[in-house]
Amino acid sequence: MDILTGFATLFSDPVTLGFVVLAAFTGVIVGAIPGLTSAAAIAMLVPATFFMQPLPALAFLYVIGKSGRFGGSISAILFNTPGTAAAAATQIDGHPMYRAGKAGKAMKTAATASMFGDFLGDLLLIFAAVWIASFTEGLGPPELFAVYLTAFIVISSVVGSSIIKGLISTAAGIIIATIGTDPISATARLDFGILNFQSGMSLVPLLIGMFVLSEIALQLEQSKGGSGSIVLRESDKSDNTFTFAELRRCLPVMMRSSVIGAVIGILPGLGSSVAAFASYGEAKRRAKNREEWGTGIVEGIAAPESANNAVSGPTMIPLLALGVPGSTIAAILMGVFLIHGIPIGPQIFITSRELVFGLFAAGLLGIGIYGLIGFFGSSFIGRMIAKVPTRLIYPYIFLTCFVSAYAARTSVFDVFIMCVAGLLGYLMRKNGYSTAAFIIAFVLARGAEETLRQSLILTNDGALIFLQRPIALLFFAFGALVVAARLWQKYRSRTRTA
Amino acid sequence: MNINWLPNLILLLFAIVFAVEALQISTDEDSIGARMVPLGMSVIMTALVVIQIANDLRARRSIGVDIDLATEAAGAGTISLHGFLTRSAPLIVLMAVYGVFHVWFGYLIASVLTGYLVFRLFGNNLKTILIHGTVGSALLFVIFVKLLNIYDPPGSLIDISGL
Repeated sequence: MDILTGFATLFSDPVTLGFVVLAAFTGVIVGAIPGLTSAAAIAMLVPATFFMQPLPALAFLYVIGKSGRFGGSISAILFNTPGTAAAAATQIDGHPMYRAGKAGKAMKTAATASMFGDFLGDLLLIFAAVWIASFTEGLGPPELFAVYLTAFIVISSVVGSSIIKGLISTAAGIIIATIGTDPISATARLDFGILNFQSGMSLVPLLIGMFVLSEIALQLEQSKGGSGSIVLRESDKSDNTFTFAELRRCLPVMMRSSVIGAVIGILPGLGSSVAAFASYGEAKRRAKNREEWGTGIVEGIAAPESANNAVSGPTMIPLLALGVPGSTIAAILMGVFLIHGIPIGPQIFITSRELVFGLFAAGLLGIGIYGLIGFFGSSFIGRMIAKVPTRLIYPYIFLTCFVSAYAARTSVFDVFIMCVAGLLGYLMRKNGYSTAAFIIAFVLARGAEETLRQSLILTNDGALIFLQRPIALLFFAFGALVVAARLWQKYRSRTRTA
Repeated sequence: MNINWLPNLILLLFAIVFAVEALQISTDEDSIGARMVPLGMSVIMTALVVIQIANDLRARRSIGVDIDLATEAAGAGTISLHGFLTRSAPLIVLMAVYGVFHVWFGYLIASVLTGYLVFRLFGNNLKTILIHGTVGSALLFVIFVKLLNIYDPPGSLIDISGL
C-alpha cells in the first residue's frame, strides 16, 4: 500500500503536481519533434532541476521520458518520420492510416495502447523493484562488481552495430569517468595538468554534447533548405474515433506486447525500439489477417506502442534494485538522484521510501495526463509542430544547450567539454558506435571501480574471489549467455546473407 | 570523399593518450591503486580499436563489400568530408565561440551574436535571423538569468550585468 502513500505525498505537494502536468505536455511535444529524443530533452533540462526539491525534479524528468515515448508516435503517424527510434514500428501502420484520412483514429489508438503498456510496466516496477531489492540488499562488493561488469558486457553487446564497437564505447565512458580524483586514495589522475579536470567530469555537458549537440549537427547536415514546414492533409471526421469494438480487438495484442516490452525493459541496454519491433513482429506472426498488416490497421499501432511504453517502468528496476541503470534515461535519473544526495541502490527503499513511491505515483499520474493529451490533443500538437520548420527549432535548442551545460557548475569549461563531447558523439553515431553505452558506462564506472578494488582488498586470492561467490558467477554466466546469443545472431545473419 | 576512418583514428589516439597519461599516475607498489582501472581500460580500448580498424580494413579488402554500406545498414551513416567541414564542424566550433563570447561580453550579448550565426547556419533569411536572434536570445536571457537566477558573470570586455 506504499503506492497510496506515494499518491498522498504527490497530492500534498502542488509544485510536484504542476511539474508532472508540465512534464506530460513537454514530453509529448518533444517526442513529436523529429530527431529530438526524450533523452536529449531530459539532458537539457537536468540543470533546471538543480534548483528543485528531489521529488519534483525526478518526477519532472521521469514523466518527460514516459510521455516522450508516446510523443514519438505523433510524428511517425503524421509526418512518416518517427520522433523517436521506438516509434519507427508505429510508422508502418500509423502513416498509412493517416494517408487514408484516419489520423485521429491512429493517434487515439496510439494513446490508448501507450497508456495500457505504460501502466502494466509501472505495475511491474512497483511490485518487482521492492521484491528484487529485498534480495539484492545483502550483496557484497564482489557480487556488486559482478553486476556492474555484467551490465557493461550486456550493454556493449546489445546497443551498437557490433560488439567490439559497443565495448569501445563502454571503455571510453569508463576512462572519461576516471578523470579527476581517485575515489579511494584521493590521488589526482588523468588531469593532464589542467586544474579544471581535477574536480572530475560532470555528467550534464557530456550528456548534452553526446545526445543534443551531435543530434543538431546531424539535423543540420540533413537539412536541405526550403521552408522545412509540412503541409498536413485533412482527416475524415466520420472515421476518427477508436471504437470499443476496436479496443476489444486490440486488447490481447496490447497485453502480449506489454509483457514483451516489460521483459525487454528489465534487461539493460535493449530499450524501447527493440521492444516495439519485437512485439510488432510477434503480433503480426500471430494475426490471422497478416496481409492487412502494414496497410494501416489499429493492431499495427497498438502492438508497438504498448510495447515501447511498457519498457519505461521496468527500465527503472535494475536502477532501483541494483543501482545499475538499464537505459540512457535511467542513467540520467541516476545522476539526478546523486546530485540531490540520494544514494541509489536497494537501500533506497529504506532510506528514501517516500520519495521512491512518490516518484512511482507521479509516473502513474503522468501516464493518465499524457494519455488525455494524446487522446484529445495530439492532432493539434502535430499540426503546430508541422507549422514550425526545423530550421527554427534547432537554433533555439542550440542556444539552450549552452546554458544547460554552463549552468550545471556555472563553468565555461564545461561548455568546451560539451563541444568535445558533441564532436565525439557526432563521429561515434556516424560510425555505429554507441553514445548510450558511453554514457551508461560513465555513470557506472565509479561504483564499478570502488567495488572492484574493495573486492580485491578483501582477499589474498586476487580475482579468484569472483569465482568463489555463487551470485557473482550467476551474473557472469548471464553476461556470457547474452554475448553468446548476440554472436550466434550475428553468425546466423551472416550465413543467411552469404 | 568520405572520412569514415576518422572516428576509429580519433578513438585510437584517445586511448593511447590516456594510456600514456595513466602511466603518470602516482600509485603505491600494489596493483590495486589509482592507476589500475584507467591504465587497464586504456590498454583494453587501444587493443579493441586496433581490432576494429583491422576488421574494417579486412572487410574493405577481402570481401569486396563496401564497409560504408555495412555501417549504413547498421543504422549509422557515411561521414562526408564536405558535410563535416561545412555544416557539423562549424556548428560545434560555433558553440565554443559562444563560450568565448560569453566570457568577453556576458550571456545576453553572446547569445544575440551566436543566435545570428546559428540561425544563419540553418539557412534562415535575414529578417528571421534578426528577429529570432534578437528577440529569442532576449527571451532566453529573461528565462534563465532573470527567472531561474543562473549566474551571469560580467563580460571581460563589455559589462552589462547591471541590466
